[in-house]
Amino acid sequence: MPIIELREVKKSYKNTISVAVYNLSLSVEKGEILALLGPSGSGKTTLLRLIAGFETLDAGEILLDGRCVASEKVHLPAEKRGIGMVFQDSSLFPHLTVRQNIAFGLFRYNKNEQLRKISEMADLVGLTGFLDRYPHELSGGQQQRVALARALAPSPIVLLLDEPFSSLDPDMRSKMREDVHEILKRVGITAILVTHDHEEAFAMASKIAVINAGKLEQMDTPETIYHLPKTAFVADFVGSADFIPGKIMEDGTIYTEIGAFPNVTHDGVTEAPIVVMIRPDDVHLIPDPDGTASVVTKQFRGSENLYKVSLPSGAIVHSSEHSLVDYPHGTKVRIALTATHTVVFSASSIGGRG
Amino acid sequence: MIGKTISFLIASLVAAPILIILSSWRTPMDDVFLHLVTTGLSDVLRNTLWLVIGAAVGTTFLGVSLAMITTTFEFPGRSFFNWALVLPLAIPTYVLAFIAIALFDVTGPVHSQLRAWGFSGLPGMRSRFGIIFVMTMALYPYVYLLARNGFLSTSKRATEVAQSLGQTSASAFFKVILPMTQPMILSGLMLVVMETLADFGAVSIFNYDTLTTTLYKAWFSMFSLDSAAKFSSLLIVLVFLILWIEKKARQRKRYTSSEKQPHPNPRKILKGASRLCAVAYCFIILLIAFMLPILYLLSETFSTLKQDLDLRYFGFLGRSLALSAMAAILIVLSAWVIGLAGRRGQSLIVRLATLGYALPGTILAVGGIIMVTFLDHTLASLFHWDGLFLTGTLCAMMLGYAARFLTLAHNPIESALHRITPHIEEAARSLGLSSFNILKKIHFPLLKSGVMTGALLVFVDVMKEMPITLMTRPFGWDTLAVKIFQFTAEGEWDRAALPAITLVLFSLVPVILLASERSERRLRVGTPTAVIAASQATFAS
Repeated sequence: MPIIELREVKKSYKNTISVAVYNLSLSVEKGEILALLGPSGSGKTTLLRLIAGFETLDAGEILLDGRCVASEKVHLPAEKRGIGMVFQDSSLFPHLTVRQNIAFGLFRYNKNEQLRKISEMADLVGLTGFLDRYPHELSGGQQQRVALARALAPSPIVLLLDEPFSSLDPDMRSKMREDVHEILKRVGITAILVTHDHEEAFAMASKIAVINAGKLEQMDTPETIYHLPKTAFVADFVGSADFIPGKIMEDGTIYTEIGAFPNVTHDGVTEAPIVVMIRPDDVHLIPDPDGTASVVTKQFRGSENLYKVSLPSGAIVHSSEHSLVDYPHGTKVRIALTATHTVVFSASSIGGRG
Repeated sequence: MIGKTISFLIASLVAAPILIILSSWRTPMDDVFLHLVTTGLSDVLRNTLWLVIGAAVGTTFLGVSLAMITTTFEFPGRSFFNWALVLPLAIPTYVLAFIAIALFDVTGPVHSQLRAWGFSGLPGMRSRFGIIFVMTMALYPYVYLLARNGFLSTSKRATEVAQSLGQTSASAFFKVILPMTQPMILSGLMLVVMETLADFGAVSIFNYDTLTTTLYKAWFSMFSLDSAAKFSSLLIVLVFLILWIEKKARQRKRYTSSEKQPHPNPRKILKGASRLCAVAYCFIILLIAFMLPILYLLSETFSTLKQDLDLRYFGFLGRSLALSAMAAILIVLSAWVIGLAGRRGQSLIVRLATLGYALPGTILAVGGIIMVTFLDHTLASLFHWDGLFLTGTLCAMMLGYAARFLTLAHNPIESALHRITPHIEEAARSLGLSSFNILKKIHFPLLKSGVMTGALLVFVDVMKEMPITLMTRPFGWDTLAVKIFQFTAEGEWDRAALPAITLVLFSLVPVILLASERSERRLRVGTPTAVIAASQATFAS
């Protein structure tokens, strides 16, 4: 039985016309880490807050561990739901020490239990010597660890994290991601993480739900999301993507300007005209004085170069090549494809993206 | 929901006197008003204007020059003067006024001595110059304090940039630091202007007719509350005009640097003649504005101690303390409710509630009385009561105090509430705490210092307050401030000294706290002038 279940959840805010969350359904199994991934304003934070109990829903149902905590008739307040929450800004109680912050949710435990839990948590997040410090004496990363310890101490059913790393420096961020991922796995807790950063989602989650304008676009494993996106939005959001017009041949292969793609593995698209999604890592450049494509610009990315290549039709594709080789502007190239999946969309679905 | 209604109620109660005053124009002008208008309104207006301009110029010059000297240069006694120059704030203007008259007027010791030496026919203190001088000495600390903090927070970086672009350190001061501090100096100036316009005690002692004394005369001498209200509205217009001018002047520019912790400029060591001048200047100002007055008060107190330190004195002291304590509790509670409303985005409520600070106490007294009378008549006709219920109680007084001093409590409480972000409350809820426990474990400890600061400020200011108390007190509620007014009205300067020194001692507590704050960052959390300046900003925006 899933730990968290959302059924046709709908929420809109009174002073806006648009809907924040629209008929959203998903479920999370015990021990899974789900990332709610989407752009700003997509409704992912609203969804998290609905699960937490800080917002009320307009329609639908939310169940935690089989129990209905929210519906049109029922609203169990946040303090009774047994959830743990970590905010973007840690929100530690400034007048309490680290120890007191962690102990805050443990008022139902007896003295000995509390002490045991506190040292267990401090150990878990790696802050054992810091228990008597105050929040303002800690770095951003340390504050978030305390926030994590505080949320996990009362053994909640589910842990909710609202963009927990976005207020940290980039290098701190990647270290924290690793550490927090390990901590969550060690504890074995079910968690939902809200983020707008697809790399973060890939690094931390076992399942990703891509949310756009209040709707669930796709929920799958990170690999599936990346290689087999269901919609153009998902394709573009989780990595760079180019879309080239293609024509379906009688034998099922798809013919495009840069080559032929094998049989369609991604179904659901029947109407012509269609476009094929390609990622820069699928496109390889072979310098050829007789080549029809040419390099427009190059962007150094450390381990690779990202090239912008123009095709004879005027279309642009991107290619990612190892940075040991360098193709200057104007180099004539031939394109070789190494696509293992063929992802196809109808051309009309590409246009409307902002 | 309940909270919203309550806070709206409080805010309206506090803003009502003002609206009532403005509505006094609905009734036609009576004889008293016409009489007062024709027999010297133009003089009164001219007096008021001269006083305001004179005080503004004087305090700006004094305040800015002193601030510049104490922050830019190093000389013996600098760190002492740095905080001591704020001390004159502990002496209420009306106290400084009567000391000035007692010492320097034609019948006082200085003139008598000068006559003994053969200098007769010298001008007395009771002149336009005299009152302007007293105002300047009493109020320059507002400008000094704000200018000082402004100069301190202008970073070394700004000076270095100016130098890299060709300015000497002296011209950098005038071209970069001074302009960047302009808004703070302006805030200090606004405080001075407001206090000058509002002043009633000092101008009464000097027999210098301004709008506030005319107002008082209309009501207490000529028994026309309506005329008093009409004059009040003139004052209100003046006040709003000034606030509007200030807002326009500040409009689009941004003055704060983007640095988190600006480094202050290093100070230049003075030598020789300039060193002597700096020390002398600071010392003389402190002498005139603080040391001499205190000495006078102490000496007069000793001479009247046997006669006056009796049960009656303790009665007055007790009443002052009781009123201050009542007001402090009421106002702090109200400010907390208003603060919560403000945090939920109901800025209109906050705006209404903090409106009264800019207005003179005399106006708020008039408004309070009219409102209480109105309420009484309404309640009487509604419930068919005989007689008046609220008139004759402390109701009007508390209303006046609330209107005037709510801002003082609101600002430190608001700053403290800011620290309790919605996320902190939600974190507490997610950990299982009920609303009551959240109040107990989160709000209470975090708000304590803001509440204490607010209560202290209100307490001391109500102790010193004179116009509202004078005009709205029920029979038998004389306070120390009222006694000072009564003694000075009779020319009994010596007997005014004992209550005066008592008030000064109480005022020294927040002033010393205020004076010893050094960095601007600490100043932001609730000390009086920053509070006041911030409140002006809130009102003006």
